[in-house]
Amino acid sequence: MNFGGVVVFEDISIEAPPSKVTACIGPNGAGKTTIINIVCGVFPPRSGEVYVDGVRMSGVRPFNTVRHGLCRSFQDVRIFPSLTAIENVLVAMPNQKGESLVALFRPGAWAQERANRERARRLLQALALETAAERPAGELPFGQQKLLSLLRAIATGARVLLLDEPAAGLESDLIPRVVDLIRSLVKAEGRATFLVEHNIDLVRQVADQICVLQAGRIIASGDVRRVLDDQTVIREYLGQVYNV
Amino acid sequence: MEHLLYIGTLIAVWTIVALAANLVIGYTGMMSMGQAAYLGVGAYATATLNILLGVNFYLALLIGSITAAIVGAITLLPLLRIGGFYFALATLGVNFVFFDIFHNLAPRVEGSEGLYGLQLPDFLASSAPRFATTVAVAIACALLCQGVVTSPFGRALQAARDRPDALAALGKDPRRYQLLIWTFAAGLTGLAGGLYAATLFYIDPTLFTLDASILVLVYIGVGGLASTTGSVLGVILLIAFNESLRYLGLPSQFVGPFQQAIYGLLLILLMIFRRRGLVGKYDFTE
Repeated sequence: MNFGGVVVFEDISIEAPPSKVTACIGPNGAGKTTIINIVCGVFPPRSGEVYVDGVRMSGVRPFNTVRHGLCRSFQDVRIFPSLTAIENVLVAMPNQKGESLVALFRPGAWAQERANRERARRLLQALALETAAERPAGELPFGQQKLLSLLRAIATGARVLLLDEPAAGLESDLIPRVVDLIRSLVKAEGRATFLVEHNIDLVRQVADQICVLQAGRIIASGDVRRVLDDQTVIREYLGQVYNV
Repeated sequence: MEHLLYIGTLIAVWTIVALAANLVIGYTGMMSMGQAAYLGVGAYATATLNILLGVNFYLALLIGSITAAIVGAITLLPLLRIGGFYFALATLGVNFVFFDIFHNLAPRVEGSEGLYGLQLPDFLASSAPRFATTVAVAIACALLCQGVVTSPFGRALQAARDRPDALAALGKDPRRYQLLIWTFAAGLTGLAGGLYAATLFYIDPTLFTLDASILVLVYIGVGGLASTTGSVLGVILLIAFNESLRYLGLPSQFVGPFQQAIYGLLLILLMIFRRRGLVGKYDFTE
């Protein structure tokens, strides 16, 4: 992958198996978010392929990635500020009858909407956001907006989730909620989760495997504990951010 | 009384135009500055079919609306690649192009600049039933628009307006929603065009200039963006205000400039102190 003459990374391979959390750590500018952008079709890679469940994703446009079972969250929250919190979750739900202008007034569209609303409410409850359900999302504190953006990705039903720094900017009391959420996604629902994160405590708590990206190359990968204790990783990256 | 019914009918017609414009501008964030083009397409298609080809008025109205919807979709497709200021400028271009088409290519009754002689059904021949029918159509359009914006489809429209990239990441193509609502709104505007022709009995290209498009922006700007009530309120208040100036007893040469000056001043004050308009739920600075 390159931007103009700058090669962001080359010759890397990452696998995110189902029912596991694969974390990707590394300093700013290492290319972590770029990986997510390539996988989601935002940037076409110069070479290489992306596969989801054996299906080649090259050329799939960003709005079609969810249809292939893949959804991302953003580093910045990118919520829909004028919609309420519950509407933010609802808008993410797939195959809604009422989302087609022609099918808008067909029987069943509104019954499905009621069922979806109930499901969205349960998702909000899971992150203790139910009291914010009917408030415009733009008026919520940053932490709640961040949690909402995670719920939105989950509500798509995608089998593979790419979470871009879900804990960034969160107050410490909200982080356990993120940990529980990721664990439930993986353990209870069997989703594959690719996690880009700087918060090493969170990574230690949820990740099953890890890769460390440095200047466009993977300097270590594998079991979390082994990689985080690796002297090269400590010297190249963790020494800057984490007191091991 | 006759004049009041005429004004009431005009209010109903412009209400439909404002409702449609608010769907694309207020709810979807697509800054359209050329809605008068679709009003003209609907008016010309209806009047041409009815006057020159003898097609029943109701059928002509329906075909006029469908024609405007199709023209709307075709004109939007190349514009979907651009956004913001450039999109607005391009829609301005659409208005200019269609004005020239009406001016140079549209059919006209011999000896006039436009079309007259609409053959209305007996029921619509007098002012009162015409007023009642147009108001009924406007109410039906308002209910339809309200249904659209409160549905999951309407929710996706607002999401496409707020963060199109985030909507795409959730598996929904923002352009699909933009194209659908634009087509739907152009169809509604075309319907209003046909009713406009029936109200005025005469149409010519000067009715569909940029002035008309700006007027629509003013109606929804004053009433409020992303609000069905705002669309209705803006039209009623501004047309009623305009008409009320007639009764102030000002010399006729002052009425026009005075109207424009007051209009302009009101707009400036509103944009400074209440950018969302009277009952709007969205402003472009969000």
